[in-house]
Amino acid sequence: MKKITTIVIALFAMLAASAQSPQLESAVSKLNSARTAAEYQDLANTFQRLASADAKSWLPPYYAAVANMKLAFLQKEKAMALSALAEEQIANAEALVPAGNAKEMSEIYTVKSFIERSKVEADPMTNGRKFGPIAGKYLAQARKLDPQNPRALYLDGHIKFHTPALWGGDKNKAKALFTEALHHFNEPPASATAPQWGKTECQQMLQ
Amino acid sequence: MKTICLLALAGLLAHYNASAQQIIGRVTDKTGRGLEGASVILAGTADGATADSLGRFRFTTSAPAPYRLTASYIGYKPATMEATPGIDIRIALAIDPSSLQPVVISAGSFSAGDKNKGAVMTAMDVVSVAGNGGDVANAARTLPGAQQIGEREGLFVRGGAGNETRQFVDGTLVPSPYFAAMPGLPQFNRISSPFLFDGIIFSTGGYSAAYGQGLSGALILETQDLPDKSSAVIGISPMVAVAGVQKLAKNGNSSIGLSTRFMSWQYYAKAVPQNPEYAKGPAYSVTEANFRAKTGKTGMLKIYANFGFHQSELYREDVDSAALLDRFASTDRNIYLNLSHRSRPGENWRLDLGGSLNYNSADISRGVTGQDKAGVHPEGAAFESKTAEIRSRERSLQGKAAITRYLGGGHLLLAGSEVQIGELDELYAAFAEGAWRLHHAVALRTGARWEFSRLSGRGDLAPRLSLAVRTGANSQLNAAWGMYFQQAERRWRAEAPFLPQAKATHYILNYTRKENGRLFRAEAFYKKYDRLLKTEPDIGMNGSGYANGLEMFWRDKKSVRNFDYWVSYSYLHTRRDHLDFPMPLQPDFAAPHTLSVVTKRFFEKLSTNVNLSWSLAAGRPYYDFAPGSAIRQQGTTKGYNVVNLGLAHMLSLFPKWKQKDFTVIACGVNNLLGTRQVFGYTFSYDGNNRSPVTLPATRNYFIGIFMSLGIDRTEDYLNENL
Repeated sequence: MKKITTIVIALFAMLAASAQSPQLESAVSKLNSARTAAEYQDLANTFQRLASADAKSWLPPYYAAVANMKLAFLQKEKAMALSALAEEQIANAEALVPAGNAKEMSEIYTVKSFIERSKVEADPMTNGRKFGPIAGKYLAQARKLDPQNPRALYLDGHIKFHTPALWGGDKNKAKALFTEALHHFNEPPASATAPQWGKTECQQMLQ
Repeated sequence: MKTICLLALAGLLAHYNASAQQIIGRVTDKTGRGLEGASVILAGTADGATADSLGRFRFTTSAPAPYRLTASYIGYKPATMEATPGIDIRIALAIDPSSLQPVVISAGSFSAGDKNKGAVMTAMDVVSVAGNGGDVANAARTLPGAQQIGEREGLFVRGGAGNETRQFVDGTLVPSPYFAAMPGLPQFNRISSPFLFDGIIFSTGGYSAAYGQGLSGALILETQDLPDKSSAVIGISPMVAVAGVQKLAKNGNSSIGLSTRFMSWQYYAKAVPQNPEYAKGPAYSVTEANFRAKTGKTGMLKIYANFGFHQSELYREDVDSAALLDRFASTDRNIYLNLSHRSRPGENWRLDLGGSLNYNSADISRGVTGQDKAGVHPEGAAFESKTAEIRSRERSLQGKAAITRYLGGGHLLLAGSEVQIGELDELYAAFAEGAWRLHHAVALRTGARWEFSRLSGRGDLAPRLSLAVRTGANSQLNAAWGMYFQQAERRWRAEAPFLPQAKATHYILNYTRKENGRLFRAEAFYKKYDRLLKTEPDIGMNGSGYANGLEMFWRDKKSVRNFDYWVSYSYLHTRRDHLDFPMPLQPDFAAPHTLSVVTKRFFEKLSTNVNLSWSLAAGRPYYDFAPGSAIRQQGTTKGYNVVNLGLAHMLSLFPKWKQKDFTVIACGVNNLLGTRQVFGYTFSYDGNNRSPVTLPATRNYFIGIFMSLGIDRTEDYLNENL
């Protein structure tokens, strides 16, 4: 009898939770392989829906920000609106990160830096001076909080790679950063929903 | 108990399956176009979907009714609707006006620098136009509305003479930014270093009531605030030596700067022969000093001083006698001082105070010499006007105050007054302007300026209107109308003190489309001169004229990576009866067609910027007026066709230094193709002989090395080329 009661209770719990974890897991795994703007848009919407249904977890708004930030890189003409949305979402996520969690804060700051960088790349002439230094500041914070964060390493490499040599860009340094990032990307993520995106991009840069 | 539990379990599963409902529909904009990527969410759940390329969506939910769907999409206002499972629902979203760029009043003007909304260029764009010599005013010549005038200074805008476009620095008029004019050569603008300014507006008409005394156009420059850090720059070339420092105080609240430039064409002329012969100079020295400080919480004080010196002595063949030479010698000294303060005395207030002082002294000597350059005094009417000693001293003092009140809803009110004290007259001006956001897509600017001259005892009221209407997410239609007044130069008013001001009325219609790194702009204008200065047979303001035309501008910095270009074309039709014209004529500074192509390409691997500009203009008319102003000869010069090439290689000579240097090696050729340019002719007294006014040498070469320490200009280049 007890067994059955347990099953019923477990089933109830599962039904309630079914709206969450498996959906988040599947979206996170989709994010790992997403390429097109349509895919990222769909993911941005999915994560945003998950965020509005669960006001306690930092991951859904975090991922919504990631997807919108990716879109901002892909759709330069809409980049400012998309980055504004991503900023709002990452701020929501930041507020939900438990205090003192350096690894998670490092992820937050990495995405913040990516968002600023997306503004720079959307219109370097107008935005470069304004947002470039902010992106650098956030990245430094992210690297400090977690020196092994593969996404922060990857972003550092991305900036070094795209900056001409004369101005501190360094393709060799970029390569070293990508290699180091990949090394950490190859470690299994802490959970199925923990931040793990970026590996494909990093591998591409090393090819 | 077991049974009950099993029943409960079955019931639960049955309920779960039975309540899986399908929601279908479409998200569109107000015109019915599907919004691909729009998000649909069922209120209170994590259920929802993303719209496909036609705006359609479909999802299932196990949540109970009612089904409230919220659709959202970037740039649109979200909307919520009730849905019935299985029934197609359409959700139409309205554009969110706050997501659109604000409408900007922009008829008639081009702006540069990040201070200006709707900017077209940056300071770096200005310096990197090939062949402009780092002169803001020169760079503006590649924009529509400006003529390609190679034989004298100034911006000749839309059929207007060079002195009809005035230069303003931090709000106040610069009475004479150029050194004393030389015959047949363009003079150097002493207040035009692009790195001094971070806001540049080139207006070819229809500009704000806050500015006056420019009949045709205005070049409105705003100096930089505090620098980011201390820096030093040195540069050397066969013609120019530059040195400067900028020091930012430790607390970051003030800065001082000093820079000096010395330029001489004398040695260059020995290597590349010039006509006229450069016996002395033209040599220049320009020293600039500035002080900038934060005052209080919101104030910014800026003091800028400029000391200029110029000397030249030129000889050219006399048009009346092949045995003789015309001598022109000039020595001029000038001081320009500009003081400005801006603050926010209240949350919604802005106060601008400005003052400036200008002193120009010029000693000009003209004469006729033999081939040995010894002065001679040939007899005859032809030579009468060729000998002169001119000693001119001109002081002017200006003060200006303007207060701006920001009202809610994007409206603002501006009012101010101004006084310009010259050698023989004082001009008092008052202005008021309102900028109104009538609708999220409509902006209107209404202004008026009143000017009163003490000498003539006359006042003039200049109303001005400008309208901007957004026609799409990235396009705008602009219109402007306004009256513009300008006093005649001092020498004419000394003879005729009661001369009224010259008067022009501008009508402008403009369409601008700006999207994704590309900009298209078309502008049609009509300008009517109701009063223009006549000097023959008598001095008076009874001249008149008109100009109309069409201009196009296209800029694209997106299509090819690291490649930026712009093309501008101007059509101009103009007639005017002014100065010594016997009748309304097309003036000799107006070409009907002008085309400019400016290209810039950055080669990342070589760290080199290559700039190429090409300017083409139809021939300009020329006239030979016999004494008494009858036309003796007239014609049209051959077209103008000049290609300029500039290369800038960037490197770091001492990368190991703590403050890494940033060095640019620049070189360039003006008139690369060596085509012969004829701007007009000088006619002999009897009209039997003429000599062309042309470039002093077929080609002009430049090479130099510039090194800056501390400041990384790289960021400018970088940001531009990423």
